[in-house]
Amino acid sequence: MKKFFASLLVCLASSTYAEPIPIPEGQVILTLSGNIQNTQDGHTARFDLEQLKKLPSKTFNLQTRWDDEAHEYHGPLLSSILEHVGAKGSVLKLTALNDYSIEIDKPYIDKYQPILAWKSDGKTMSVRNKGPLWLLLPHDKYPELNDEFHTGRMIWQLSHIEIK
Amino acid sequence: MMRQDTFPKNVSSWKTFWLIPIVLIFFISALVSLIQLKQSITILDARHGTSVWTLFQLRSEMRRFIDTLTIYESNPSTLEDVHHRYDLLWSRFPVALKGVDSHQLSKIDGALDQIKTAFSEVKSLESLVFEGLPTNQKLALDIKAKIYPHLEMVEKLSLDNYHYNNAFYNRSDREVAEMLEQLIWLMFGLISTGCLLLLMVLRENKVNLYQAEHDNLTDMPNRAFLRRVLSDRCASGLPFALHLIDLNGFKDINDTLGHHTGDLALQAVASRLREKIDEEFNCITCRLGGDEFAIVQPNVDNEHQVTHLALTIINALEEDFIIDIHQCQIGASIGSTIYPNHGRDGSSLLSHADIAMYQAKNNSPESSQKLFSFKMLEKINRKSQLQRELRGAIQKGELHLEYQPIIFLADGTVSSFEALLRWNHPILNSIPPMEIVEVAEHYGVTKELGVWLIQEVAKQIKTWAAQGLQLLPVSINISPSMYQQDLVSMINSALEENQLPKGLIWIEITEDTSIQIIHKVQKLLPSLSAEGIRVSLDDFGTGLSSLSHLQQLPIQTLKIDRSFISRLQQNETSRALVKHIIDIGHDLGLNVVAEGIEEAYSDELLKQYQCDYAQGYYYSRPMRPELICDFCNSTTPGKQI
Repeated sequence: MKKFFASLLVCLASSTYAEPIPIPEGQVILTLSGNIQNTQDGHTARFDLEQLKKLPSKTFNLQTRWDDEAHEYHGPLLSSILEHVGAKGSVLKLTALNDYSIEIDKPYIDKYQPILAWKSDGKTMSVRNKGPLWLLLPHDKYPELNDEFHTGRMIWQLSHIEIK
Repeated sequence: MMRQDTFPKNVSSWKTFWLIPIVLIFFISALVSLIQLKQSITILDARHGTSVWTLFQLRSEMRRFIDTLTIYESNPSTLEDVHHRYDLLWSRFPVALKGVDSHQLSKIDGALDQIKTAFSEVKSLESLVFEGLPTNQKLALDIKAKIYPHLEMVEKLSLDNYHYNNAFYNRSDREVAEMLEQLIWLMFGLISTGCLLLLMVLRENKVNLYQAEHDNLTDMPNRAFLRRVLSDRCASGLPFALHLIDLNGFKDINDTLGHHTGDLALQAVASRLREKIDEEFNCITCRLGGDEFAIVQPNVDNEHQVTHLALTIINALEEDFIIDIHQCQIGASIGSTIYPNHGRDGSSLLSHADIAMYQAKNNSPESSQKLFSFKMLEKINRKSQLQRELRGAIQKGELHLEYQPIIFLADGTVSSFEALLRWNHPILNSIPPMEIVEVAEHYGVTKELGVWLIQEVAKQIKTWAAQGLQLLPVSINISPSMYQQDLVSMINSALEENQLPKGLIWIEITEDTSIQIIHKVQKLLPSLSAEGIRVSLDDFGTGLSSLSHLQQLPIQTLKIDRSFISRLQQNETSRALVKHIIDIGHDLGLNVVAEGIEEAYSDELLKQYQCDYAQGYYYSRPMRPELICDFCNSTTPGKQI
């Protein structure tokens, strides 16, 4: 019963009050900005890998079009990160380390539930291997995702998300 | 005939033999072409996809790395950026060397190897970038120098293949060359079989055209052909003649020797006409159907030439034909027309020739020819006008009857009347009764005419009775087809309607017509006499009379034709004939009426010969019915015949 109230309070708090996100201790690998409620400085929410590891995650076993074999990819659900920061906008602009950027609608994310993979076959992904974060769509489960339009959204070396 | 039987068989087997492979080649070629088309589309579609884009990305990452190095040369604090850019450049290589892009790049000659070399070079720079560079800024130049050639290589690769995507046909590709060769063969197959099929269609068309314009039996041109020839000739404007031939005696051959012999006869006629007319006189003979042929005679200068050819045709056909084992005589009735005198188009020439041909046929049972004249048309026109108007004339009351008394010679009293048909046509004036009957007969109006006649007479007798005239019989002339109607009941019901006793309407038949239908008459006449309807044999002594008819026909009265009576005074033979006809009549128990008495001499002589009755202008002309009462009152009604 206590637990229930506690979680209820958390829920209420997260939906009604801006909840400060802890300052990352390690290297920041993802920054969110724009229409978000939970920040560290009132504008952005920055995460290190350890923080992301704590969010609800999933593992995809995928062979992407950039690889000759399938690999196991693991990372937090993008939707869980968005929830975590109290994102309110409907469009996301995702930008990579090399300045490549794409825009995705919120319903698209709700529908396909992509992950931000940080681990591949048990190893943390480096920049040289599309790390530190790679947005992956479960195109093994949704065949319609197997074309260039959708795979083009699978942005790697992701570093910044702006919610509009 | 043999040619007709074998020709189509050969054609059909020839067709089957060639048609199957031709159609097969056509379809296979078409099918393979389709597959090739699909392949071509696939080849065109198989672009290098995202790989070229990947090359561009690699190039730009190289460029950025070099740029970062340049900045580093003057600003050592940007070392972190250099490392970052190095890692990013590194990450670009696996994208090109693995997965879909690497597969696409493998189609570009040497591309993968070049990229791999570049990757190795970049990898080999790792220690320089991470270990050497922080302490020695100058190394940036070395690193750049090593990257540059690869940058140029990637740049060239990406640009070349970007163009390739748009310039497919410039490639001297084996695949394309092979396909082109195949395509040429396929096109050859398609075009050649297509042409062959076209040829076959054209040939078939020609055969069909020939068949459409030729007669199967005789292989002669047919009516369709004739129409074309006529319209061509009319268009050319040169005079020519058209002969329409109807064979005489052909029907007999068909009826007695069978249709097979009939067909052989037609073939024999056809070949004789071809041989003796077409070849000799450069004419065109066509078979129009049945036993009707037409001959187009070119270059006609005068009517004599036309008549001469017609005679030649008749002579050619008059020669006996030997068909199977039978010897047959075939004659011809020919109607001829001349362009442009008798018509300026095919249809009028044909219909005019037809009219002339029927004239020839009606005129003589022997072979004969008639050249069309517009007088024939007038006759036909008059006939068709009368035919159109006869029904209306009956209804409008343009027809009326006149009555001529028949006199009992012994005392000069009126014994009966003969009703005579009159038609006062508003334009053609008075139409002779014979012509009226002929028209009625020809156009099937006899029943209406007969009904009108009988009712008119019955009404008249009643009218006379009402005026106080004694009931006297009236005889009417009926046409042959009236025998087919129920004459007895028609007469009796007409009398009954007018409350008159039976036996007041008699009929007169002519020798010629009654002989044509002697069997019917024989059946009909006894029932007539049983009903009191007396029958007279009119115009006796003319036409194809035979005394035996007197024996066969159940008649009561004989009417001697006016031609004998008119010559009584001048001609001894006539006198003898009349005397003996009267005697024969009496001996057979018949009453005898003399027709056409115009003078006192005849009246006296006939009384002397004991002729029973007489009729003629000497006693009275045919009168309108309203004058009859006065006439009768001046004589005393006499004994009935």
